[in-house]
Amino acid sequence: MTKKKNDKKGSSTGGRKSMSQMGLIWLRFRKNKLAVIGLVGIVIMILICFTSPLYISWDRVVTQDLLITNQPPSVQYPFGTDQFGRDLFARVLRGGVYSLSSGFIVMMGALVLGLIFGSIAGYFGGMVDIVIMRLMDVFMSVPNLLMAMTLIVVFGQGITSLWLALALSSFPALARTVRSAIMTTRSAEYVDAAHIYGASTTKILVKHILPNCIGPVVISATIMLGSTILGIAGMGFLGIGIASPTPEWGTILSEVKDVIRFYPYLGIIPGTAIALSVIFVNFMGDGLRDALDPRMKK
Amino acid sequence: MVKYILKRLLLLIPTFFLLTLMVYTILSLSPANPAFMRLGTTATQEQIDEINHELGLDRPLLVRYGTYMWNLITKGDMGVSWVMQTSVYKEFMERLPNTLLLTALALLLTTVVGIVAGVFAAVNQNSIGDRTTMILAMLLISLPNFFLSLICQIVFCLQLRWLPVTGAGSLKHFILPSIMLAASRIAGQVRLTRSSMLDVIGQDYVRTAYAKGCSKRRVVFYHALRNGLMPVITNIGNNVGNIVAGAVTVETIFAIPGVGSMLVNAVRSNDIPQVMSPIIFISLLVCVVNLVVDLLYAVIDPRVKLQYR
Repeated sequence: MTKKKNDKKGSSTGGRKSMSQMGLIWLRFRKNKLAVIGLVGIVIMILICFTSPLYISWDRVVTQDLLITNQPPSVQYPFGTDQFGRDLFARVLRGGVYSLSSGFIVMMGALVLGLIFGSIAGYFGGMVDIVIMRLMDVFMSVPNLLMAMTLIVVFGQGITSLWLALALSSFPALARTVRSAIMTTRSAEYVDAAHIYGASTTKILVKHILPNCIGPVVISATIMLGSTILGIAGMGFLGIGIASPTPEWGTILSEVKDVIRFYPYLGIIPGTAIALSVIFVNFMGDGLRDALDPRMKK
Repeated sequence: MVKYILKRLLLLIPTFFLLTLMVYTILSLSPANPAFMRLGTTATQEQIDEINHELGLDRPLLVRYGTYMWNLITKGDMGVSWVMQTSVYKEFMERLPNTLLLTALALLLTTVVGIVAGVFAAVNQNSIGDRTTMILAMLLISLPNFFLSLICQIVFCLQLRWLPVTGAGSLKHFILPSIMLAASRIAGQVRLTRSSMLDVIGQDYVRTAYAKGCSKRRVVFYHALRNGLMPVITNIGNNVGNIVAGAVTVETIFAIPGVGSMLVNAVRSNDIPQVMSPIIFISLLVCVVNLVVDLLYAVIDPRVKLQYR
């Protein structure tokens, strides 16, 4: 897909030093300081959290030791211990694995569903479009978080059902974006040309239309990622997400909420972790939007 | 215009039925079984059948849905809680005023503060004030609402003792919760207002107004604001949904007996009838608000009005 865009761009820019579409996007992205901070920040967070299983054993995460409850931060326990004597450092780092990967998994799930339904509705139009989009509208009139709760009742509580529930509850918005992007590319000449050459519907959709409307979709998906991480943490906090003793950031906050009045760091550390990851993702999303769609930036 | 309003009102009816049917169908797929809830896992098959029959769960889905809707519309009956075996309607109605008050206060705050800050940022584009506003908005969007609520609860209620910690006795109880609830939406509102105002400020007629010699204040309030607020008004419907959904968390933290906390408890205990009524009510509320917004749009925007003469 990148290659195809290369050719097009190369021929249209003519004598100027030709640059791939991806290269241009990357250049614009790199110029945006906040976007780079976001990208670097989230990559560092992912690296720190995902390498933690190498040196933090699961035992350290869940073992309760009532002799060392509520220890202040020290060398041995950099973030202190909670009211059950568990090492908060271990819990926050290993918890990041759940919080961040869940965010990405839910986003990918919603993206796949959104692409499927959005492209079908956008490409075929007519009755198919009306039926799918009407259903999406009805689906969307239930606020996201509430829809996710409803689905959790059906799927039961657990990490997989949380992923499913959140992906299902958030994909209609993406489907809408995909649909409108496809509607605009569908009438392009090169699509007509492909039709004339006798390309199959699937081939036209996958090879010609989707690559050209990926921009707005990537933007909405990235922006959704931030709110998804918040959603996962929120569900964990309400006790209907990833259940204790699995250390998800929202779940950690809900465990310590009664004692953070006396030991503020117990709440501030996981809370900051959530906020930082969302800030980084949002910075990245904003930068991506400006880089992919320069028209939107004045 | 009357025809347009009537058409929109009539369309609300199929939407309502489609919506409730969807929620009902999804929830009916739940494996939760009221018989086990009442009798424990030692229940015999006969006892289970008896309770299923008593609650009408042995009948086909559409019949159950029909009965539920009939009872809801004619008698306001929302069924009986599986766990507490009390009337859902009664509990719902006791809790509804708290949620409505909380939501209304938060919506008011979101709209007013969001628009004022957004217009301010747009008018002073790239100034320090604009930058500060946008950074604050970014922070507010990224901060988990429950985390912010917890911290503010500790600071303002427990340490400074300015406000009551939990409960819903007086208006004072609602001050902090509604601010917290609004905080999650204000940022979005500010960003939307700012970008839509910036769009309008770049238009030719705004330049014309300046060229005519209008003062900045007159241009902003008379020429730009009216058009710049269009997308903002559309977003109010969206906000209502999200604020009501956010009320779930805030009500739980501040222990306000509202519809939201009822929903969380019901989800935790798989109490289907208790889950159903808040979801249906909130979704209907969102639909109605969206309808009102659309109608309002027609009144404000002459172009829309002309279409439906």
